[in-house]
Amino acid sequence: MNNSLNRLIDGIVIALEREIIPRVDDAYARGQAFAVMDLLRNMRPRLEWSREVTLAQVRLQEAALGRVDDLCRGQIARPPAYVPPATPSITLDTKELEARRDRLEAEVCGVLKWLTGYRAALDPAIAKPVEETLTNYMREAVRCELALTANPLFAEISRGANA
Amino acid sequence: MYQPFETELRARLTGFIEKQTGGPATVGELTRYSVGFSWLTYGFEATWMEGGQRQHRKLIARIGPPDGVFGPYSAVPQFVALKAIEHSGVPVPRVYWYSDSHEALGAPFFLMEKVEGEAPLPWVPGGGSAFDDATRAALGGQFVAGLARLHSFEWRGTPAEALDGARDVTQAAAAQIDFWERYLRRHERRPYPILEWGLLWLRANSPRAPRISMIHGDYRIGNFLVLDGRISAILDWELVHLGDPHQDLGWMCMRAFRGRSPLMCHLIGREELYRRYQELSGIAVDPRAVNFYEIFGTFTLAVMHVGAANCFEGGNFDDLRMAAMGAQLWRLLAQLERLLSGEAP
Repeated sequence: MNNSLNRLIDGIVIALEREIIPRVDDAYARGQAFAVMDLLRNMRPRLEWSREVTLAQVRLQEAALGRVDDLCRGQIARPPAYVPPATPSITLDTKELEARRDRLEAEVCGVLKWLTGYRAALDPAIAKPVEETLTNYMREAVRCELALTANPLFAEISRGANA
Repeated sequence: MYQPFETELRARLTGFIEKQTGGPATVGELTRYSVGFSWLTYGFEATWMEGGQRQHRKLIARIGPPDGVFGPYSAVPQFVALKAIEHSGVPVPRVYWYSDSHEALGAPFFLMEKVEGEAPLPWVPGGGSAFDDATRAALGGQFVAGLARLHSFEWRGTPAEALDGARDVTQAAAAQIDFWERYLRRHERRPYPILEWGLLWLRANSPRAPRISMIHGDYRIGNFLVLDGRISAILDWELVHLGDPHQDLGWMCMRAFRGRSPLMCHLIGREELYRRYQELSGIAVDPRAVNFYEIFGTFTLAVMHVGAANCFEGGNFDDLRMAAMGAQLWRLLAQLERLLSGEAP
């Protein structure tokens, strides 16, 4: 997900309160909507994004960056060395894991820029597997996220009615 | 129904029209439309006096919300573009007035004619056809003709000359990449390697434009109205600029606007699109340039999703549709990854 859970819950409560409930004519339906607000407010302090999902992505990143480091070992032209974090990812809480994920994404971006900039000067026997490692990582990261992503309801959202 | 914002908006719109026309005006009940994820869209009936005659029109107000996905907004580009091509043969709504000042409505806005018609959407349940064959053929032809007219329009010497974009055929792609990279940097809350890969690829593969045309920027199914089997208006000009005509062609061809259909925007096959566009516009189509702009378009659409999520996250814009867009970012990143890996579009 690309928004924080707290902000999403706050936004849903605001939409119910300001946009939906004032336009619902049926008292029972309004009562149900107020109950949704009530529940969301109670769920908010008890919820966080799945730690397991973030941990799985961090593991993919660590594997990809470690593999690139192995491939480039001993080369004169090479990206900045990958230093595995001292604290194992498994021990981090969700917030710490998200920070690590973002830092490692920045490292992946750095290797992509390095590869593009130096590709002509690199031994193809090094450049190709580095590129494959990065693209395989990105493909796998997308696959994991898509497995959790429901089909969009853009038609319904645009029309304000069932598609 | 209690709608305090709408009540105040009606009063402000009335005052604005009275100021523009120098006489009494009325504004009827407002209808807010759920289409359009960026500018807020309201429909209403208005009356005013013009040349001693009472005018009665159905109008649309498009308002650029503070903290919206493309904020800060200006109504000038859309107003200028629509005014410039009013008689070009491109079906567009007539525009009346605009304001970039926050004095009237608290945000930039413009008023235009309400054109009748339905907007077919790209999202078809079950991935089926959006049109029957006869409708599709008719609309496909009109859609291509509208684009050809737009790209052939001689913007030099018109107010459209003031639009943003490139004047140099060697810089058209670079100017757009720069624009969207700035947008990405403003909105990204975390790095996305696929977007970085996209930027690197786009900069390394930019084509030279065959000419500089007026570019709609969002020319696709969902942004035109259909009435009685004909396109009654091309809408949503907020990304209008000067650039490479291949950009609109590439955008039209994107997977995001056709799903599993082999037809671009559910309307026309790729080869037929190129052939008819070329015949009507006189602009030679370079399929490699269309492919470049298809990848560019997928990149920019993904970046817009990043922007939507960020606008919502910032806390000043509570439109849940922005968060819903943000939740679909990975679908766009998957499409971009496949295109960058060389898979057929």
